[in-house]
Amino acid sequence: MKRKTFCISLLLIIVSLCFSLAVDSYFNIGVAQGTLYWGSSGSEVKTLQTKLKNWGYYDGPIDSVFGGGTFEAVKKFQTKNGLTADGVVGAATAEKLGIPTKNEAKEATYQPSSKGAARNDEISLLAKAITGEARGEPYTGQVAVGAVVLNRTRHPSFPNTIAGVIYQPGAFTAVSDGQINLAPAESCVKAAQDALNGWDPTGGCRYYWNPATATSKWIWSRKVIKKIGKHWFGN
Amino acid sequence: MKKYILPIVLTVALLTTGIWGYNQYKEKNEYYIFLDNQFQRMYYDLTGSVETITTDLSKLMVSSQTKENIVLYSNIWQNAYNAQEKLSQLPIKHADITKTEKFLSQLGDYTFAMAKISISDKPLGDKEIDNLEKLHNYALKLSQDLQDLQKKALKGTIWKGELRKKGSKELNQEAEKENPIQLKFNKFEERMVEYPELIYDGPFSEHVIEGVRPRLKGPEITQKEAEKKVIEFLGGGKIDKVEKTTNGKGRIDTYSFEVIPKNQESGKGNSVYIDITQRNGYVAWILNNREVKKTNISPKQAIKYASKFLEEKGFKNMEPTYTVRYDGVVLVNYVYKQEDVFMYPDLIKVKVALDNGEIVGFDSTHFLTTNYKRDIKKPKQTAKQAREKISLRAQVEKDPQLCIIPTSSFGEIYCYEFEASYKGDQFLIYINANTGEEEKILKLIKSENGTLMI
Repeated sequence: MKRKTFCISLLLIIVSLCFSLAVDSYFNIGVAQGTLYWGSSGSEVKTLQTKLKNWGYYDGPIDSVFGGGTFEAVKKFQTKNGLTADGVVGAATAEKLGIPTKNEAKEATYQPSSKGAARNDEISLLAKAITGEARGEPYTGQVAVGAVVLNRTRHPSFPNTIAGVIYQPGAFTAVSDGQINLAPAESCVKAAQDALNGWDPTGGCRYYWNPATATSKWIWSRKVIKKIGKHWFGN
Repeated sequence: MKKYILPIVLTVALLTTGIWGYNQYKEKNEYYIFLDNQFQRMYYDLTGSVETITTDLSKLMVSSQTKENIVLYSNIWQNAYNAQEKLSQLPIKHADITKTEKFLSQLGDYTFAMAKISISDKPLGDKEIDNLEKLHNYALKLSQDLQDLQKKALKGTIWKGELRKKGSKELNQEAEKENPIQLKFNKFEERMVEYPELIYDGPFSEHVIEGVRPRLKGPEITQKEAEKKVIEFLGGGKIDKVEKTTNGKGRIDTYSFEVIPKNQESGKGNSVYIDITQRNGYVAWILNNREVKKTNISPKQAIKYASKFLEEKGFKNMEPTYTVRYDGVVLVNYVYKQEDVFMYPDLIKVKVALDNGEIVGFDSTHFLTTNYKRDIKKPKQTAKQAREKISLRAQVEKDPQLCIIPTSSFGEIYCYEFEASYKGDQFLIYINANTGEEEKILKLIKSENGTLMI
């Protein structure tokens, strides 16, 4: 009898261990390493849309933005070509589509670098930060959060780069808890662009906080300049 | 009775293990996010530095004067070391990046040496130009590769993979231990990374604070009067929310309004946000995030709509300069023109929807804080004299444009603006109209969506 209970208990422990391991690995499965997915934009999406349109999979506008229409078209293409129909253009799908994955630059002569499109990475980083921090806010509130990040880059007490400000430890809760890795919402991408193009609804603020959830006492010593949605902005 | 003791003890032990395990799991995740954020940031900074290096190297091709050269060399030198530092901290196998690291440190050494040579005022020889071109090409390639990799890293999968391979525990502990020191270190490390901006915006935003503000001197208006201005400016709609803000310290004090556009119910669709200055009742800015589904008009027509709009609203003598197109809208930058001289500090931005030509964005904060009637004198240098100051390598196609550009120290410089090109890259070169000194070089970033400056 004793032996039996012992065996059962042992079994229970083993089962629960296996279970927790399974849970752990479940949470750790990364999102597929797709190069282009819903929400992507840029010249690569344009190439993709042109190809899909030429082959009759896609009938929407060629606007360089990976939206619902493109998603469906990619899925159609994937089904036809025996690929997993997940609507994400990864390495295998890109190869079938014939989209080059690497540009080859010549070494010898001067390469013009005007077409660097250098700003895309900044827009997407800022858009992700806005999504994490203010996706439920009115549009001005979203632009305002973007403007606060940019105002910080220009202020001597803060890092000088957008990435430096956003990833500064403890600066933004959405960064500390990983919400920044969510796919950026559409209005937040627009808000990031507007903020980068100079719109600043806060009039130069460097701080904002949600009075309902703010945990830092120090933040209450800031001077409130403006209230937008749930956030208070100040200096 | 006795037979229950063991199961109870075991159950308690099991529960405790479970709770402990869950806490461990949570803690591990927090460390992972923290570390991932650090890596992401370093990576963005690395990319930014390499992009700035590429731009500065190409600017060297068209720069002719010692002063500007030294500024460019020292910028490249700093950014090269900065990039190398960031690169070496990323969890990438050393063997994979030795060449890149070598390139970055050699680039730093080379430009430092070049800066020293520049002080003795020696012009660049063919060999140096050849070297700089090669370095530029490599930097361009590197920044493209970094951008490609970034697209994959955006979802955080790369760092996660690396971490798991190396055993996250050790690294995580290390990261926590190093936290305070590293913070300080990073702050010290940061140097200028340039971001492309629409012309004369952003980097000069301090100009707004300290500038002369005759347009904002005058009587304070009441909220009722401001409301009238809103309706007048937007041509209809219902005012939903009002807020008065006083910023003090030199910023513009405004009334903020949220307006529900015509034929829309409240709570549905997009509101229009608009700020009116408390003094004199100017419209400071408008934000309207409405969706634009179809494009019916061309960017050229959009500029016409924008110009007409400014004319109607009483902003005279505004000249469209640069445009950028995104999400179904065109953003047009206007500068104030006084006696054929462009006043770059006096900037107004207008956003036009490409479906029906409606104005969906407006920003006159720069204009309102800087615009005044300037005393324009005849330049001491002729256009021809100024042209001779430009590097022989740069191709100048058109006649220069007289303009006033803002400086970072709140001043204004009277300049000739030359459009120049070098082997496919285009630049704007500013030569001081009185002294003939080269004041600034901007590089044009042309894309299908419009033109940006860096």
